[in-house]
Amino acid sequence: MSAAPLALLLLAGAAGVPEVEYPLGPLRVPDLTQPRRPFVLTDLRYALSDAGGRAHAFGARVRAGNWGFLGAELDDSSWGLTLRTLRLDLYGFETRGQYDVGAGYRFPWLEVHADVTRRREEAGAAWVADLRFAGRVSQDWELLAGVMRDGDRSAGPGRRHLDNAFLGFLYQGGEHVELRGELARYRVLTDGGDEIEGGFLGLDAVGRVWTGEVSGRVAWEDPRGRFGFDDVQVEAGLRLPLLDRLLVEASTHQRWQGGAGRIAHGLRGGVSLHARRVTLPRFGDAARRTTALARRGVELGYNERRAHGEGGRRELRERLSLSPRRAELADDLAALYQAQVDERIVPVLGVELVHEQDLLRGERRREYRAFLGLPWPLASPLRPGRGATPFLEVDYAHVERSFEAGFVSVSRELGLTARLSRELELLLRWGREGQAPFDLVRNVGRPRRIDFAIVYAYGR
Amino acid sequence: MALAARRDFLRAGAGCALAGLAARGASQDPAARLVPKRNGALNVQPLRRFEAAAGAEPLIEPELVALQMRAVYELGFERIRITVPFGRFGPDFLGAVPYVRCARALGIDVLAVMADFTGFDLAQALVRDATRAEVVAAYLAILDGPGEVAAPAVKRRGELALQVLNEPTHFLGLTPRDYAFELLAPVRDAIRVRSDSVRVAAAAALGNVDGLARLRELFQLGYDRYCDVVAYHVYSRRLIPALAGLARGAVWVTESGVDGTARHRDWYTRTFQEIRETLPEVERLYWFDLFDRAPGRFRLIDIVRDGPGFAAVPESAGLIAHLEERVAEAAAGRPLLAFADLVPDVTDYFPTPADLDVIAATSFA
Repeated sequence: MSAAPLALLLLAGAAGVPEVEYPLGPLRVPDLTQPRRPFVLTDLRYALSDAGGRAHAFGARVRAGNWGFLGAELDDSSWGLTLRTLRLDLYGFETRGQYDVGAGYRFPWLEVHADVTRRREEAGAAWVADLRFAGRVSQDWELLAGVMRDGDRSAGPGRRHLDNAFLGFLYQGGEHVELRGELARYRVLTDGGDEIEGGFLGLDAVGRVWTGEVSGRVAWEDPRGRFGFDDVQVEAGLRLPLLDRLLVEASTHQRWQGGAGRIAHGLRGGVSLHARRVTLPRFGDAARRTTALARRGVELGYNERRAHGEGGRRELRERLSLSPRRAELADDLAALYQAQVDERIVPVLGVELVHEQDLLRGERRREYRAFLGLPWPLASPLRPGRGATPFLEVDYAHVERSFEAGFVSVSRELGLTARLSRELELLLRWGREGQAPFDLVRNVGRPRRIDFAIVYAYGR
Repeated sequence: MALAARRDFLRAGAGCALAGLAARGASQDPAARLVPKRNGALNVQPLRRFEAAAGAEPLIEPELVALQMRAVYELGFERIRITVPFGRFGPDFLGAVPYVRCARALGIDVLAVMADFTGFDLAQALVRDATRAEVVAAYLAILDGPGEVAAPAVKRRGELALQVLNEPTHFLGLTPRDYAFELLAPVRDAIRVRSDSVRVAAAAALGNVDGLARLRELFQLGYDRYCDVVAYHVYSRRLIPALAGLARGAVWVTESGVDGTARHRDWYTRTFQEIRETLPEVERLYWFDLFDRAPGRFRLIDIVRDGPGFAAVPESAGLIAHLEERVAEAAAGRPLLAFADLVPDVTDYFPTPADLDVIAATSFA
């Protein structure tokens, strides 16, 4: 074992953090900064989906020394390759004759992304280009800009952007608050061949309030001409831990259209009981360490954003582990990983209710969701356990869609997730989709769907 | 007004246009002419029996057809919109046929709505290539077959137009996209293959602001490219300014009216005028409706049993008086042809064995 993780584990032991036991046994802190082999498998995914016809999907990624991560994905309709290094991101995918390639590069104070799509021959073989910039003004502020253009100006199925240009900002004030704003001019082409020009203003916010996290979004579209009706969308959410092990979540979204009033809205509320104390993503040691590590990355010229999610933190750790100065970052990287492990969420029981109404479709949707989790080591789900990790989880969803025509469609879904370790999980889902009215018109039956997936993610 | 009193009112014919505007025996006068068609368009229910009873005979009560068509004629309407329910070409379909034929024989244009009042039978038939062709061919063969005018005074046979479904999101749960691309476009093509003269109207969305977002979505999908005319329903004045500038071509307001008999006349005069001024693309405005089963709301008349037959009871007295005044003004005192002289026997317009042969040749026989 290398010195750094060893030091960390000793530190953890000194702080009284118990070693975490997974069903497959304990896991070591991932040794990303000093890989022992030229190629280390970091991700492996296989998914099988059966919804009338079977579909397979594979994905794999390896770490090539300290140079970068190489990935490959393949399913029934597409294949692609990815590359991630400390500063460079590359990808290329082919999907039924359509090619998508992209590149991103992080200069010390500027991040540039370019994505290019070439549609398949039958779709006109046109090019779509999207170029985005993020200029870092300070540790906390970035200025954003971008342009996008679709070379195909002909009408076709689906509404799509022809041109888009935006200016914006991103403020990441530690882990306490994050704001993002965007002002755009756009031109879209409707299915009917009409070009609509307009403006867009979007504001996103997420932050800590008291012991909870609140989030909000306002998006205002101001199109001109024949379809010149304003469209305003508002979203708000709250996540609030109570009594250590309870988590209450609520959110709403609302959409208004000029002249038509409110055309869609939704409410979502849920409560869950956890085997351990609930630590939200922007609270706790992992949040502080994420902020500190990203700041350190900026100081070193790697232009890192703070990402307060499991996936984002993993990417942050992976990228910085490729740095020439990885040795001096190793302790911080391992400490962030350990903090994520320490603050793991172990849900054992929860319910969620969703109510949505969409005037455009004449549809009202009600979802009732529930789950029951069995932690590892095996114990009563209701008993608190400091050493608990997520193991088995069964979830069930009952979705009712009521249509103005008096028609009611019921969908059901049942899932089983087995987390054998922090890195390895198996998923099995069964679902039967209810018939929407048009399914009935087309005489499409109620399709049954079974999904199976196995996911391995080293250092998650 | 109590039912008995209303019957007395009818019999007395006290100022009731429905009973006496076209003088009996006026056709004996060589100067007699048709009731002037001054009052636009109207929705008519395809009533075939007064009391619903499965399998009851006769399938179509001639008096009901005659009564409603007489009201349409005498109130001076130039167009009607009527649902011709598919019903797998059963009694409800056949029951609507006399209305269409009689109206056209009187020179009244007909917008026939291809729709079912309940169920998905028609939408299912229209979404599949083979059955769509059968259904469209049968509708056209039966509704647009050869026919004559009711009398020489009728200068031209009323035109036929077809409307593809009614408020499809509201009544069938279809999304605007499903309707535009999977139903309207292929049905329009199927009609066009068989007829150049029958205009195809798209369905309207709900007639209040709830339908506005759907209508906008339909326009953005370009549904107006798949029909000859688009349709609005207007039951809310708030909707009128919001519709301005949306359509590029002709628009028919295929339903408009107001809940509450006392408000009918004002809606017909002021709101219809407001619609015309705000939406110059509107070519036609169809009042909703002549008769339905809900008293005191939208209908102009009630229909009641009257001995062995039926009688029309004016319910929207204010609007009926207004319509009658306009007809009288246009008639300028000249004698008018009575409905009974133009249509002495409404069963002349009933389905024929040839119609049944058309149906028998389909897979729905």
